[in-house]
Amino acid sequence: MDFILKFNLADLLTWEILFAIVFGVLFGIVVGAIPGLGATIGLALVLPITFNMTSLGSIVLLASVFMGCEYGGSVSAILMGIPGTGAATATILDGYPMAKQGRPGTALGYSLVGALIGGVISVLALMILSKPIASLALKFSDPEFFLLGIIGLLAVAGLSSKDIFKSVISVCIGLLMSMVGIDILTGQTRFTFGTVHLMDGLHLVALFVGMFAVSEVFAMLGNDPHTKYVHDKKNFKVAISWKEFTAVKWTYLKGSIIGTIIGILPGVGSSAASWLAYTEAKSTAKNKENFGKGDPRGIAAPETANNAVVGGALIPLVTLGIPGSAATAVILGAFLIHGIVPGPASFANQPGLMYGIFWGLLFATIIMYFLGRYTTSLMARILVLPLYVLTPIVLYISLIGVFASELNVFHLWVAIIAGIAAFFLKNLDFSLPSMVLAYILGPIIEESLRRTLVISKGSVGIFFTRPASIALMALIVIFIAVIAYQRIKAAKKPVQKDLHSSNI
Amino acid sequence: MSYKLWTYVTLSIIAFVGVVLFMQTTQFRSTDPVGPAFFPQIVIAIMILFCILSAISTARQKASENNEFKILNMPDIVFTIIVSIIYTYLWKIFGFSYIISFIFVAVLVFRYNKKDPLKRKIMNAAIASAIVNVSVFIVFDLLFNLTF
Repeated sequence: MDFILKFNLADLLTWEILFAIVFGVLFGIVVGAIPGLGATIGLALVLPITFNMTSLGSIVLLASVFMGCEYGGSVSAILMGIPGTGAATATILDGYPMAKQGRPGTALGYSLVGALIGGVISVLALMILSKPIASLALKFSDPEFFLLGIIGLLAVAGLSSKDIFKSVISVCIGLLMSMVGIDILTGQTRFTFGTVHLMDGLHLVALFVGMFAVSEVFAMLGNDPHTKYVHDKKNFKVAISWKEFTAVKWTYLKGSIIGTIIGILPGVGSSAASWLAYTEAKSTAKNKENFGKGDPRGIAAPETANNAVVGGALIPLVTLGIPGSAATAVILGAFLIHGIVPGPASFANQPGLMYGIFWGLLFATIIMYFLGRYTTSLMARILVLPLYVLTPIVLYISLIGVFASELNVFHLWVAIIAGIAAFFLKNLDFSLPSMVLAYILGPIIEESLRRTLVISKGSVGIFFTRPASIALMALIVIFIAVIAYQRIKAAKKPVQKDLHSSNI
Repeated sequence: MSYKLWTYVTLSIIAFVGVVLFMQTTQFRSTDPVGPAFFPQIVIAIMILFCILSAISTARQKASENNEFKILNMPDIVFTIIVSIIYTYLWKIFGFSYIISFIFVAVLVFRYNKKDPLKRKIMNAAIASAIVNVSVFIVFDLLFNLTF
């Protein structure tokens, strides 16, 4: 009940929070709706703004963008049959046919209600589960945090690229990037090449914006610059009736549960959640033949699940300080920018902030429903902008954002170089999510390992003397076994590039 | 150039950077065996090892998997990189300027627009650039009080 007792409503009733929610949700819907962009890029673009906001305001802003992006992805999927995000791919199967039947507003209504229910249920799970998990994690010390970091890296590296060797190399590059600057334990400068600009490390915002937004600009240039997404503007009232809602209520509930659980698991992501929910809805339906022809359950299931991922994904982040995806790694970046290290101790040290974030996310979900109802048609008009206009805007906003974060031109060079490198590495099947996660988790992993070895006088036997460590090592072995099994299975049966690789 | 060849070149660059960084770590001053060089050296060793493994794995790929490595619209990408570098360099010299930013966005919109006639291209570029710069001014200068 701490999330009720230790929360001050007045913290949320400020203009800043209202701006964070409204702007975040609207921006998220737009970014999510634009094919090719997604939650990670949306979060990276907004990250510089958070420098001038309070801790609570900045996290609520990012969480609102995350939530808005997940819903926004369905807008282009339903209206044009093009998924705005990887997570919205499953929505096309029934959303687009329903829109073509002349019911785009109803299809968007199913998606929006799903986003509301999935969002609310996952935030409630976040509120209820966070404190007990954090209390359990309070018993963790350096050996366990080192192992948790390894689990986070393993999960993402194992699932985010079809080439496991390149995933591991990506992790190593990310870890090396995290070591640039002053070593916290000894004060020694590392890999700065004599420049003072690198003493504080590679700038987080510059790196993220470069890797995700600038590199995406280069990818967008590969498309026809005159691509303009046109859709039918008739029957655009985004709503469903009570009767239509009750017909799919259990699909909404099951989608929420699937999305929340998948969200908690590191590395799996919203694409997997939406496909799993869709498959579950189809396999348990009596009239399976309706799926693919505009069945409401085919929209409700994936859309509820991908929004439920948001709350679920925040559980390991706020309780253990371990992000499970590139998107949550960006949110962790915002925590760090404000000097907050999320983890078990943060519930004891800053309960007001942590519960404020939860309630802010809940409000954002509810406000998203109303904003979505009345502004989706307006937001969809952004898609009318041709790519030759949209691409320079994304690049310009990226550079402005990087500069605004610390008013330092050096960071612009970092962003441009990171963007060029990321573009080529991504095209060669290296894993950007693994790189980003390793960059964020690097300091936790290194410091925990070194402190552990100092305490144990260099003996790795310490990992075998603590029950929690043994349990986590068992989990690592299971993870490796699962990844190996999947690789062997994939090698025997060639499949298409995995669907969630782009959206982890 | 083929996908395989690009992979070899990239892996070689990564491994080379790894070697350079490893040599740097040998100059870190510390008497502690778990000092500042400890973790980087482990990571670099793993990275170089996996570069070798990745190269072997790439070499063993079937000929059918050896696809051509194509970057679509390379001229525009190179153009964008050059313009961005010039823009950033001017930013460094003169500080942030809305006039230079206006030209930066307008030049890119003009370049990417392949269909319209010249006059219309210029007009589109100017209008788009003006709108986006005014929006940036409103958000950053007025709303966030961030004067560049």
